[in-house]
Amino acid sequence: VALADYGSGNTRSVAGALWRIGAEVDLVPSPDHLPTAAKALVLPGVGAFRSCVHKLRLSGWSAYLQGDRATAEGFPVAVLGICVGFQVLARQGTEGGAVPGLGIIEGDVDSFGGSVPAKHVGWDETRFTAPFLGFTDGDLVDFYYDHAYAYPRSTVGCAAISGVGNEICVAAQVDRVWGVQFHPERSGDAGLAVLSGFLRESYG
Amino acid sequence: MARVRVIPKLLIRSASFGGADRWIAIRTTGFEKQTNVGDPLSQVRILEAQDCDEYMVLFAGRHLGRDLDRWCQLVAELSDIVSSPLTVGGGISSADEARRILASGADRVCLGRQVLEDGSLLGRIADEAGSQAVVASLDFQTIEDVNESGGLFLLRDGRETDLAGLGKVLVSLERFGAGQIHIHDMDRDGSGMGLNLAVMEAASGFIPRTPTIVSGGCGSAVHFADAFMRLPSAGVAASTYFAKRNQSPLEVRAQIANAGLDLRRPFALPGIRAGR
Repeated sequence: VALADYGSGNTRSVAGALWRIGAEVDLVPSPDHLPTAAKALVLPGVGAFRSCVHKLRLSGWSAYLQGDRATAEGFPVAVLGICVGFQVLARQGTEGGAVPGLGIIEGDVDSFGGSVPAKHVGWDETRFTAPFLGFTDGDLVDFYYDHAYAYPRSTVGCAAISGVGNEICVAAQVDRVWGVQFHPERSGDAGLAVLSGFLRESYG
Repeated sequence: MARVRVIPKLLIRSASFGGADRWIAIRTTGFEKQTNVGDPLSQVRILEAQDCDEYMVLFAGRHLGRDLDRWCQLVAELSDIVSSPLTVGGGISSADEARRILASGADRVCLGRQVLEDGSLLGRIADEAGSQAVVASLDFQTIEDVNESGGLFLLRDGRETDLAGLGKVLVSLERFGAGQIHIHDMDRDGSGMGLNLAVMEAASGFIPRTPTIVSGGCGSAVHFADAFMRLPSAGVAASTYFAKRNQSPLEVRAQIANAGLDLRRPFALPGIRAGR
């Protein structure tokens, strides 16, 4: 599995979790370095939305991910975005002023609507609302979160919800692109199950 | 709202065995008296088997300095063991050291005395790695407990301040970009008498938007449950408590569950495997 190493991610923690489920991990700084045999790409991301988008542009990942994803021929690599690596797939983010995202997921990433506490930190219950990487509609699972911005529940392709009043979308799928707001690399066996599900989806 | 967080905290220092430097976990009383607990890697493996919500690992020294490379090696090994977030602190004096520790697999760095003296250091790390990667630590000693006149507290930079002053320090740490704040009662550290909940509640109240991790004094599983009753959105960290052989996160979790508090549920879905 390829792990995008574009200077904005807890890359080492994610690599550690992938190793734990028996994956071989290639740290890949830009699409030019992507091994031809790679069928799965994990896109981590922490920090500010703006800075992640900027670094994805500089490293070429942005243009690569915006390519033709409709078919496995046009886009042979399945993608899993994690945390801000999921958020950057949005139409736009509002952290530190409106910034355009990659426009892959039909939704805008915004701060939580006036709810207190403003940060969503810690283990929290997550309700799946559609099939997602081995999970099914109705599954209730605890994952680890650490974020202050999120997709709204109305996001196209939303497959799981969490937070106060279940108002945020924490997992979504569009074509061969999956994304999760929580940290599967730091969510115990539940998180490893998400990563395993992604690898099964990518490699069959 | 997110679940309550039980956070074992490991204090680690370097020791020489037969000419070779090794890391050993220790426990302290009042930051002074030290007792060896064992090998940090095996300590963390034991904790990992017992459903911890997060980990804090602290270097018990003033500056990492020339130990930085070895420390980062240990952080990488610990990072590969844990499947919950790992906060690493102690002895960090520069943004470059913080960057090295994060690149080694820490999810967050924790800075105490250094950011009291220079809050901009916190800001520089937060700008680069994001505020979620930065925990500020406010370590205090109590000269006079909370009372009508506000109490009196001694901070790591030598400052004496009342409760309102403590609040100002917390707000400034938040403004500099701390994603969370660890509030640590040095006097009760290792005492086992329970947290000073009056101070912790008042202090957390100054920064309602920022999650806190309170520590110093947990000596029984009931102390954790008491703390969560008063501070449902805080994490509770403890070092001495977990360093004792007969006490474990499992016992704490049972106590918390019995108190009716909202605890993380273990992963159990039929037909879904964690491994490949």
